[in-house]
Amino acid sequence: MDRVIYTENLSLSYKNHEPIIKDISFSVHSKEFVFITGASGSGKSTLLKSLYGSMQPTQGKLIVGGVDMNSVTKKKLNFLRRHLGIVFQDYKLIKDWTIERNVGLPLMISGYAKNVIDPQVTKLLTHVKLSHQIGKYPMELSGGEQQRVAMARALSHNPVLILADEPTGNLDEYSSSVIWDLLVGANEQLKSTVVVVTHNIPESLGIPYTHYHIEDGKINEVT
Amino acid sequence: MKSLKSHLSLIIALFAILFSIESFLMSQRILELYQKSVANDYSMIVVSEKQLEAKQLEDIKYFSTLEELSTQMVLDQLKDDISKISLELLKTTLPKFYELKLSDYPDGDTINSIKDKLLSISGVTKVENFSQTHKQIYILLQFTQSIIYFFSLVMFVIGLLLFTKEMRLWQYVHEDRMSIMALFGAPIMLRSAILFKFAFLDSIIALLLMMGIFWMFESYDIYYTLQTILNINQLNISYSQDLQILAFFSFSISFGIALFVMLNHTEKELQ
Repeated sequence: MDRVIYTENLSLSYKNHEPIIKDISFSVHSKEFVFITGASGSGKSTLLKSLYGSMQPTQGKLIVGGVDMNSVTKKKLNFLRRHLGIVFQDYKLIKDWTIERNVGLPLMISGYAKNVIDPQVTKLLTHVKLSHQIGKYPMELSGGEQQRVAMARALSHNPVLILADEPTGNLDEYSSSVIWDLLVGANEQLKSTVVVVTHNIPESLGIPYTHYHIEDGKINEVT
Repeated sequence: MKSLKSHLSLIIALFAILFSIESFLMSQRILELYQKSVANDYSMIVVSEKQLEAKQLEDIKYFSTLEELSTQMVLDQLKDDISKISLELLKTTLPKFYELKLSDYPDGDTINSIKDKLLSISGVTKVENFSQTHKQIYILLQFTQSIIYFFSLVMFVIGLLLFTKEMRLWQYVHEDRMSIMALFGAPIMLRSAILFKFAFLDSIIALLLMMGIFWMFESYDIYYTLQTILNINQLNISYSQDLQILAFFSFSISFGIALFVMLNHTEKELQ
């Protein structure tokens, strides 16, 4: 199987600080569903940041989707990001855009025409059970609904890799289960590789997954 | 509402800049004409024992025309008081008088250097430059010019500072959006498209406001009143030419600052 993420002796640190991730090596294969857990401040979100290029490795090797993140150019990084779907705990929706426009953002960036974007957005909003909210702005929706919009945005361009940072951290049980279903659906139907950073792994995910745990800057696979 | 307020602040700042530029252009035009009209009224009197030719004076700065003044009027006044022989003698010994006009209205030092140059010409015995009257008008003109330029400059600088401040606020307002777009791989031009869209829109609105000012000037005969007060003619106001200049400044400033904001935008750390 192809490796979507490859790390070798990877260290990450913030400017003038001790490394938060120390000398780790792991790989994520295509179509794999991966959980990364760890205590608060353990560096799991930092690791995720490095995967979408918001942070450069301090040491070691990091390859995402065939792109070497140590020497990535802005152009290459933009190209890579157009094939990623990113979900955040605080949704990161554009507040003064309607939810349709938010969902269509990755397609707009990829240069699709309006007549391609509109039906895809409607389909996705129906898929995340928000078709009745079309025309509304993010602030008019509940937290769970906003996260579903963020999920729809992450899925809109059939990404190769979905990176989710505590996607259910702020949500109630019902909304959390909807988000897990969407992530599992993306993995099974769209064949996307999924990497989720979380505190809690749902008890019944219904699919096989790989679990890594970060502690003291080191990563270990939990079997 | 917030966005409208932000637009309005930007438009007002841009309008202040354009208004200062237009004030500068207008005052420069009016003062130039006024200067020309004063120069037309101003002349130097040259007294020479020899016949002077315009060709001899061509290397004198601002030289425009040389006209010989007739002495007949003086001689006519004297003909009843002196004998004919004396009058004939006077006619032959009387020097020639010339009126010298300049193309521009120079400062006192230039006037004095022109006087010196004229006196160095063979035959020239006296030059009257009416320096005292000239000096007063010249100082008044310079003073008016300086005041107008100073206020235009102050207005321009304040407008520019306001505009930059508003653009910084804009940057802050759009930073989240730009960072989110960056996360999905939007190139910098696409991320900043909104800045350029607003820059274009606000430039157009500021220009429309300036057109409103032109219309007001035209409707209320403001230029005509100025011409009458200053006693000048030929004040040709080319609105289309001014609009081109203002459009150039309006778009250059707004796009320049939008570009500055764009290049200064660093991807905000998304926690």
